[in-house]
Amino acid sequence: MSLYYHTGRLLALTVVPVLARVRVEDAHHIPDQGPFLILSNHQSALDPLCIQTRTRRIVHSMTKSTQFSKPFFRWLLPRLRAFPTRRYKVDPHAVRVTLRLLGAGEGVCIYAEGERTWTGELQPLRSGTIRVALKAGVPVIPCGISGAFRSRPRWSGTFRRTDVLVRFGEPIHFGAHDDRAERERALPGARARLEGALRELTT
Amino acid sequence: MPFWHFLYRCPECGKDPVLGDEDAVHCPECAAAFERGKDGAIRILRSGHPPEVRTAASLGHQIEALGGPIPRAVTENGEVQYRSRAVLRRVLREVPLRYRGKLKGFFEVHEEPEEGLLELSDETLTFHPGEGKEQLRWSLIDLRSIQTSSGSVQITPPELEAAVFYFPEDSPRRWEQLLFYAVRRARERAEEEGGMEELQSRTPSR
Repeated sequence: MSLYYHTGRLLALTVVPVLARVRVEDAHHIPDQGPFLILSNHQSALDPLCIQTRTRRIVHSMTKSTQFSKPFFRWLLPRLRAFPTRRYKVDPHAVRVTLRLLGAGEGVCIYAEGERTWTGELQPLRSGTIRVALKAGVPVIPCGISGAFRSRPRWSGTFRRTDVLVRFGEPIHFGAHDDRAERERALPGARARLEGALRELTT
Repeated sequence: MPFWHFLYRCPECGKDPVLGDEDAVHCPECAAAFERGKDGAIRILRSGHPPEVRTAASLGHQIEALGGPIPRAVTENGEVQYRSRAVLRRVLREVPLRYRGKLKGFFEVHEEPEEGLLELSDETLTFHPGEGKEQLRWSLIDLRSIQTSSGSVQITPPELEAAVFYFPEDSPRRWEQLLFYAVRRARERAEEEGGMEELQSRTPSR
């Protein structure tokens, strides 16, 4: 049942154009069926709206747990397929939910930097996120968002209408790394590959 | 979030702190003014000069090149000494979030905010609450994660799930950078094994 998700997407499709002129490139990299993991940069509060409104498939979003502190958002966000992660500690449950969703053939989006950028530049990717990608063994789709920072930088309270480009990269197949030592060995290479892809996809 | 959370120091002359409000920052030393320009860029206004437009990234790098928050926080003897008025919200408990009968994760419930003074030294981070309340002191090498979250800094000290600090007169970005610096130094002094790759929770994936 995804009535809330699709209603939310329709609402967002009417609201987002007021805030930004969004253009999407290469959304065909998202598979029509089967699991996928979108790893995106994080420029502004617009990012989830841009991704979730412009993909055919339902995308579950890993979202910081503080977003769930207000009752309204606690009601709304799960219906929009957001699930919480506690960023201040090891949160094995967020990993478990991610792997469970991917195991069920669903799509998940994680903002690989772990927080919004202060400067518009790509920040270092979080090791935990890359470990999840290595463990999951599903196609990883890098997603570069450009221009959302110009619409509303983290340090500004107001939106200004700008052009936002959302570019999906070719799926990266890391393969499943079930063994922890193997994952640790693969981590630096996977990080470099993802960072490279995100740099190429952002302008 | 006010503009001075990002530009907490003048990127031109290095004056720290600057004066700021929601959308503009003024340097009391060189009189440069910074305001949000078009397309997320920053306009620099100097008396007698035409406005200059720079990216946030270039000004951020300029502040880093000047030492970021460190010169103001380090004494002549090379010791870290910095304090700010702060509001602490401790994580009281974590609550499971269920949707359609499935456990989706956990979110935190905070205690009532507590006003006080947050003080950073070479070895410790201390929160001094109001009179009659017990101060909280943590060794820097025991902090397990540090990060900004919207307008606050979240840390994970021992014995607490998490502590969230808001700074009514200071920048959370400054505090995050300063804490990274102080923790890195404290770890080097303690000769902790291994470098500090990132001061965030390691997420196990098995």
